[in-house]
Amino acid sequence: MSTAALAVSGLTVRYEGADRRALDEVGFEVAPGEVLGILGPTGAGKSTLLQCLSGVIPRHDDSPGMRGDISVFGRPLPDFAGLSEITESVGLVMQDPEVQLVNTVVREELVWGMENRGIPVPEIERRLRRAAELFDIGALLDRFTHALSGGEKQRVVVASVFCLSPRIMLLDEPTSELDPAGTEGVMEAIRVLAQEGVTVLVVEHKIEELAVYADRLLAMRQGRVEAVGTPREVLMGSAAPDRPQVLDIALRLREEGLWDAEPPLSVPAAVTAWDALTNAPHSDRNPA
Amino acid sequence: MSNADAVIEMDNVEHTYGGGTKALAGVDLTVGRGEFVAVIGRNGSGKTTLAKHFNGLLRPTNQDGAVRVRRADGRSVDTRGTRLHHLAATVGYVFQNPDRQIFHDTCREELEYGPRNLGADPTTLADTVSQTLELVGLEGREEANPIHLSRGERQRLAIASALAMGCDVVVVDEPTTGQDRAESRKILDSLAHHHAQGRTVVIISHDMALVAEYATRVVAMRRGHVLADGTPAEVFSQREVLRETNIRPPQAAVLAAEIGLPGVLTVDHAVDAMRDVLQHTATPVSHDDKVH
Repeated sequence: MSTAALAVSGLTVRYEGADRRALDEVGFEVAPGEVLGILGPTGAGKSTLLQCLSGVIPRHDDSPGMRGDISVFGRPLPDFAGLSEITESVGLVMQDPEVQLVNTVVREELVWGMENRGIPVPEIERRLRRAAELFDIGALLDRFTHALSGGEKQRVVVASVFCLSPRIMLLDEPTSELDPAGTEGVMEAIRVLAQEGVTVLVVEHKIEELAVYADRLLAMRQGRVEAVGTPREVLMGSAAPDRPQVLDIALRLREEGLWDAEPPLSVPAAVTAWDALTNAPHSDRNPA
Repeated sequence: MSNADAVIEMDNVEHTYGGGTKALAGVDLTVGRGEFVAVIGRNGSGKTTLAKHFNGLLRPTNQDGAVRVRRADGRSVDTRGTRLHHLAATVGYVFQNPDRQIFHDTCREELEYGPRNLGADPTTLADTVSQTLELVGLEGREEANPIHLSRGERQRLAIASALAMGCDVVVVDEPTTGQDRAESRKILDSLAHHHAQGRTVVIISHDMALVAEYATRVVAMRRGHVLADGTPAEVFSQREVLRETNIRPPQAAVLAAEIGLPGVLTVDHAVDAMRDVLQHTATPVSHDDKVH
């Protein structure tokens, strides 16, 4: 196997004064170009995990007790020369977009990080165009950042991290304030980036989108990894905090002995299975 | 013209922000007592602007636009001529981010603040606080500091502070943003308790599964207009409306419609309707490795 984009082992974090570990012996690997969906109820440790992977903990936090190993493309995180070098490889989009919007105008927000890196102007312009297209923010470029809606802020923040062209993107609920169309847009952008080799870890509660867009899922609870595997493996297991409705329906009918087909993860898959079960195709599908 | 059961009436309401953005472009809408209304629509369609008119946080910017609110004393007042605190006891507004409105060190003080300002009898305050906390599933947390509550719990505390004031109408902007399924349900259940007492709930939401399950009425917004208004089943079955608003009904409803079982909104409905069909399908299915 080629070098993992991210390798984590024995990662344990305890915040000062907390009664339990925020992360408890967390270990997993992510391959380059993979989309890993991270799910779990509130308090599972999802955001703490992303902050560790981005180097924010322990370097900039009030250094909670942390131990364990994190490697980025085979290189241990402590070997990096500070956060600025880590951010060349790893980009973090935090849960609250307002925390990382620092400029008054959207275009400046996107350009700022690239200028700080000394990226040549033509390349800045190229990435700006690409970001505007990928995240559908072309119409927002000259708007004031404070006047954006929550969903618009989220797309701008994801785009600004994209502009720095990290090999790994860590996204903490990047679509929480987006409507369904906006959510799908961001998920599609994630898919495109992954096809280009970017590794994406995305924390999401929107299980129906994750089921379709993630290559693998990692289910967490109370600081521990409860399950890791393909969306089907994880969502059919007991560790899933929630399931896509179509999967829920199929599993309930299967309990009753009425669904003798592979449980679906999406509506089209459910329709195909239904047609086979009822011998009454509703689409122009060829019977097997 | 005034409907006896109406708690909020909007006539031709327009709202144009300072920068020239026309967020509402002529809305007529009546909310009746005892309704559970979900306002849906894309980001930027005017949902929040609409909701902020319900309690006078915003007022129509056109001369002939008007919003009337029926207060507990039965009087219907125009929000334009009424001070905000005279509406606060009737319509409670919970912001998308609960931290914008929580400012005390204990849940008890947080809930006492509103009733106290409205001149509530101090001897009944303790009961009001404990009953309201119970209603939102935070029983016994009187002395907890809100900063130690989870985001979802703070959302419920913010809802409780509106309920503690005895508001007839509670308006909640995106109550479940960023919440997991279990917490989302607790938040909606808090509102359902309020609704079950014959009171009125208005939510703004993108979560169509919850809308289908809890709301009695759906108002779909597009570009500052009301595009559709009806029961969840009615609105979710209008393909044109769904396309225009980019709304996706819950998966259960989409699946059921695709396989010719219209009118289904929830997982429970879908399972029932699909079971009926499968039981009448020729070959009985045997299945051993059930999922537990």
